[in-house]
Amino acid sequence: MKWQMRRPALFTIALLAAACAAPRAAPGDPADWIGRASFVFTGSVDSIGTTPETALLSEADAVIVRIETVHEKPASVRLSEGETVAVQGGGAESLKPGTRATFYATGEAYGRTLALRAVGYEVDDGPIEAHAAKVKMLRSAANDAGLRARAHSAAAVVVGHVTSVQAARESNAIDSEHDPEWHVAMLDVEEGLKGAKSGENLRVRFAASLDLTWARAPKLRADQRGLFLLRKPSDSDDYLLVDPDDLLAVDQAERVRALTAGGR
Amino acid sequence: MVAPKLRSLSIAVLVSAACAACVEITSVAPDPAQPGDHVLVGVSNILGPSFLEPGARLRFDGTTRSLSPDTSSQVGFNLPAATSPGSHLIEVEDQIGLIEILTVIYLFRDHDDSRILEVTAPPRVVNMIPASLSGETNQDSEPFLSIRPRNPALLVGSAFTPNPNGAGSVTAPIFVSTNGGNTWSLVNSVPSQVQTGDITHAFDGDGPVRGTLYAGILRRPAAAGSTTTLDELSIDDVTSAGPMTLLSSNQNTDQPFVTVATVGGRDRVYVGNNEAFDAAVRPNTATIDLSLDSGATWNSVRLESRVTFNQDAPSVRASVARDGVVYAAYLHRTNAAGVNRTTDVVVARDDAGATGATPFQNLLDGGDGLAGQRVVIGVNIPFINAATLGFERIGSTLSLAVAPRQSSTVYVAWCDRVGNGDIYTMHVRRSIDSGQNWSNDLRTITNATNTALAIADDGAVGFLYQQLTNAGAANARWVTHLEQSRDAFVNVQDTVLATTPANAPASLGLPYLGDYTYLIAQGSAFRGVFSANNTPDVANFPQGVVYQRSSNFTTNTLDDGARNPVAISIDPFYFSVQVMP
Repeated sequence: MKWQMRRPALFTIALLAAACAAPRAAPGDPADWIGRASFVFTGSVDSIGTTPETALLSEADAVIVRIETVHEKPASVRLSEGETVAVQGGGAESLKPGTRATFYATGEAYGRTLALRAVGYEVDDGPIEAHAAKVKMLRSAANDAGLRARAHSAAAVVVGHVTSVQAARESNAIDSEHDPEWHVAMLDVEEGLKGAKSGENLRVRFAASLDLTWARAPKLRADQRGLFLLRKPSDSDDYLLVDPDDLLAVDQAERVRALTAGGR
Repeated sequence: MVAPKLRSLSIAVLVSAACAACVEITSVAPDPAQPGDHVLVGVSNILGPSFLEPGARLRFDGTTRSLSPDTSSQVGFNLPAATSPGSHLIEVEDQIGLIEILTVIYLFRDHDDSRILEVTAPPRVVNMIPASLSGETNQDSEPFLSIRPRNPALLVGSAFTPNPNGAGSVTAPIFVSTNGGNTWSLVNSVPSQVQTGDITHAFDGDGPVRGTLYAGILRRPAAAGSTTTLDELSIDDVTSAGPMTLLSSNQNTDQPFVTVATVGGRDRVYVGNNEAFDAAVRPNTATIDLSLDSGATWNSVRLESRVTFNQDAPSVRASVARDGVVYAAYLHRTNAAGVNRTTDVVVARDDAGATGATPFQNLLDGGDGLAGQRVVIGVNIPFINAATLGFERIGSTLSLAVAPRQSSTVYVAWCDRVGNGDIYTMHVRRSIDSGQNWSNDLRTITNATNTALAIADDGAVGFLYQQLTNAGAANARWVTHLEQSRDAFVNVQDTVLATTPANAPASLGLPYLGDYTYLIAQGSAFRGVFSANNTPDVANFPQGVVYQRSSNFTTNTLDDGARNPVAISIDPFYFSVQVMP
């Protein structure tokens, strides 16, 4: 009888405890998070509070995470083992000090330290090697998915080489620092993976301008060989190549072929 | 026998009392002082500081400090870092003591003294890249600066700086400082993929402490079918993650340049731009996008009153005086051959802040009678969108500044090629009759670009530029100057802010340093931005420099904060220089 009287109370306490405890993971899927995250790291919640960088953005508290291992970060960012970062969003605020988790996040404010916004997290006490392996696998899958989508959206995917390059129109017709300075490359198709066949000659428009707007756009030159993912704008018969991710090394052809096998 | 003794004693007491009551400041050092200095104030009543009565006080900038009668003759206090340059009053007040009461001398002597302390701020140069981005190697060129007039501690900077989050980012960053430019953070709040094209901005003049920032950007990517997309944006708190709010969007437009004036609680926003890519607008492409209602509605005002040769050059600049008079400068093309562009430098004016039905028609040319006075006619401004001046391109350099309290005084600066072997020559001219008549060159600088003019409230003119020295040689350098003058550059105070190698780092694209810089006269200082090679070398920064990013001034190297070497690149630098006396 005595025991039975206690059971509801214990059950209630257990329910409350469960309600108060932070979830083991933020809602969502790590495979999705990694596609949106530029920071992935494992660390433990050190405290709850603010930093000059979080205070710059809002008055809300953040979890201050001490870094155990940085799995991924932008090259320009300083972030090392033992440092702390402030993390807000993604439900991370509910994590208690001492909690160890792997965080998927983006940068919001960069000052003396970092203020990050979580897109997801997973609480886990497992070995760091397992976290690292999982992140590596997720990134590889995300990269494959990105390339697959890129190939699917391209009008043509070909291995080929450039035979000639010329200006697309009279130069200096309009003076602007941001003039793309369109040029046209003639591309001999060696192997067509999509949208074109071996032996075809394609006109490919590209931006020759060195203006920072266009500086990263591929600059084609005669005899250049590569794997081209070509777009077809609605206002031109020429193919278009302006995204640096649309020009790959020839040795990526097998990967693209495998990723696009069966179509979708 | 007694009387002489008493007489002598009385005289001694009176002399002592007079001296004791006569508190005075005997010295202040250093004078002038700089914020952060420890200032020693010598206090004496001749008989010594121990004669100061309990309760003696020193006041400075509204803060009172006790003067202990047991201290030495010098009283010290730290000059707060936020102390503004200028004249400050140091006051010392003693209390009335027993001797003064006994001798009633207190009725005739002062018990306080004061001394003016001149506070100066040394030139300050700050590398704007935050510590957490110590690994960055971007070409952060074409910097710009905004200062909140009501809260000069709040600043916004920008450059061609990408969002560190990488290729998937849908926002671009701005630099924010909340402590007067001492430190900077990068915040991603501009709606543009990874980074912007051109970006300029300006704060409103009143409103809440953090105010409204207006920005004009070339958005990435441009709208489908457009070569460029100009977005006019605003944000009410630049310290938030935003994103900024889109106010207006124009297609096929170049080089937005934002100026803001607040009148009667409403913001007048002037965005100089050039609609060169818009066939419907050519050939008269110099434009001011104008909002008179804090960005709610917009109107594109065509400045050009003459037919151009195909287009105006990209740069269009506006400057507003306190009385609402607004000027606009643009580069009117009359011919083109090869890279050469025959050009008139034109200044237009609106006496009512462009609030009328036909804005910018108040200044008629003394020659052809059309709106817009031609400052100079038929100069050659080569348009070369390739490395020409060192690694920098040339073709459209222009700055304009009206005296804030004297709208009849206006300065203009531009660059052209004079043909004496120069690559690009900068000129500064002045009008003191509201733009009708112009001086000859007040300054002529060979092989320079990135000019920015500003005029302080007291009339001092600031002239920022970057000059390429030893062009073409291995020891070529970019030298960044801030010149000041109070007499139309008859006498000049030149402050060299940086002198950095011009042949490194390699160019990652254009512009190398920028198509423009910016300078603001704020209070008693000129504050501005420029971009330069970021080698941490004190020899490159004659005024000194502060780096936030991890740097070693002994080995002249950068690292990522974890001792991994980082390559030299182009960084934005903030500076402040006190207005010349």
